[in-house]
Amino acid sequence: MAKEFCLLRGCMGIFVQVRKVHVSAVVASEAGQRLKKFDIYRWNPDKPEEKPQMQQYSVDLNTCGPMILDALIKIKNEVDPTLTFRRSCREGICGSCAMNIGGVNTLACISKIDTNLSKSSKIYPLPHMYVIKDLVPDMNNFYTQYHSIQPWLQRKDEKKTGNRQYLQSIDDRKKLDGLYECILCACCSTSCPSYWWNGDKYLGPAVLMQAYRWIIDSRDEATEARLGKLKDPFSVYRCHTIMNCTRTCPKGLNPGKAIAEIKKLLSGIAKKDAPDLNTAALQN
Amino acid sequence: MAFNFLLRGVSMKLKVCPLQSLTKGHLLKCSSVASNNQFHHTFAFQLPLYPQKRTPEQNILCVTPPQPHIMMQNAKQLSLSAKQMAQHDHTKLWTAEKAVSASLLGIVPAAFLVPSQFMDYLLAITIVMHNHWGIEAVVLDYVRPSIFGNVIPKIALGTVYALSIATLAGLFFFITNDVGIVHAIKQFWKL
Repeated sequence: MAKEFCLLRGCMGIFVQVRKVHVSAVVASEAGQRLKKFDIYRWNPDKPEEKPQMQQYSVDLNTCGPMILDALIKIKNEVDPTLTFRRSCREGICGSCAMNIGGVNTLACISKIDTNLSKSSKIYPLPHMYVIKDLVPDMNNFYTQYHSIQPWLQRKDEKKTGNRQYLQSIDDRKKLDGLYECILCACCSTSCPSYWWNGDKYLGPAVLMQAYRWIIDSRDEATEARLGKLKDPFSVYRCHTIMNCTRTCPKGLNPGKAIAEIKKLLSGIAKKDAPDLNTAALQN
Repeated sequence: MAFNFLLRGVSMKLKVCPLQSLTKGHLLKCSSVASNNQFHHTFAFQLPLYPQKRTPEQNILCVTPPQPHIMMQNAKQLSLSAKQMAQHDHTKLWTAEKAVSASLLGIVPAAFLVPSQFMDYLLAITIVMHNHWGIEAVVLDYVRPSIFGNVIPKIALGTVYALSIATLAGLFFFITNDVGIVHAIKQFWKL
């Protein structure tokens, strides 16, 4: 009997322990919630009489991915399905989720959430753009400007495309490094004060860097025409080397330098080199 | 996204997405179309990128069919205006600006090392030109027609020219009839 009693006490002890462990686990999960606040710009086009406002959301960082985009998707999935933003690749290659996070234009998918829980993260759409809804800006002007620089290869000898490749030396190809990687997220253009003030006539760093990418391409023969289009006082010359573009670029590119190179080519200080290889050697 | 944009023109030609073509390329207008028929009203504040012929109160059902090649037209308009602007060649002015900026680095110390009336004139001209171009750029950037209308920017630019000419005339007068810039600064420094 005494033996059985002992056994029972022992069992009870285990039960108590188990309960304690269980309770402590619950307490730990409540205390271990790392609630981070996000202030997000909201504007609804269906209620144009309402002014844009900041809306605050709390997200538990323990159950959320490390990036701002993870938090935005979590908010949209679990808290507020009306929150609107663009996103696609979630790895910094599509440029869809460009927005202003903590005062810096960047991609939400490759910017980490600040783990300081006492401060809230402020998220705005790209500055000085027409907002379509919440974090979605109207990119039409930007894309039209990109179209205007004719971002495609132009040849005088073009007969039938797609039969033979054009030759380009390794050194000539190297000139495109740091230019072709641009994903046209518009972070740089929308960080540029000149683009804010004269976005209708000034092309902006992103588009100008792509203009330079095609100007300097050894295979392209429309260099003169391309440069001729940029000679007016506004397309290029509203750039005052403020260098916000280079500072904010989420891909680490240098649009400021590309614009400077365009200015050098325009003024005649620099000349485009002749191609190392006979570009059209295979075309017959 | 840019690729998406290029494709957007294609989709309008092919009429792959009729709703999208109704909204004339504004992809995200579709959401508001679903909930609000008079969606133009909500976007009335947006800058039209192409000439809009419809009235704001028009119902979506009677929107005129979209013109094809809208994006191409946009691009053509933009490049046309760029061509028109290209008649005004800014490259030589830019080169001159940079040349004057660079020459100031030599002229300013030279004027103090070898004070003469000629150096004073040179200093006056280069400094006034340098300042004029700087302020002209500021006025061009900030006093722009999209905000101030067509008249005020011209007045502002005229004022800049008037101020620069007045400054240059004043400095010339000072150099010919008084001690000159460099001597004046040296005397002021001695105080």
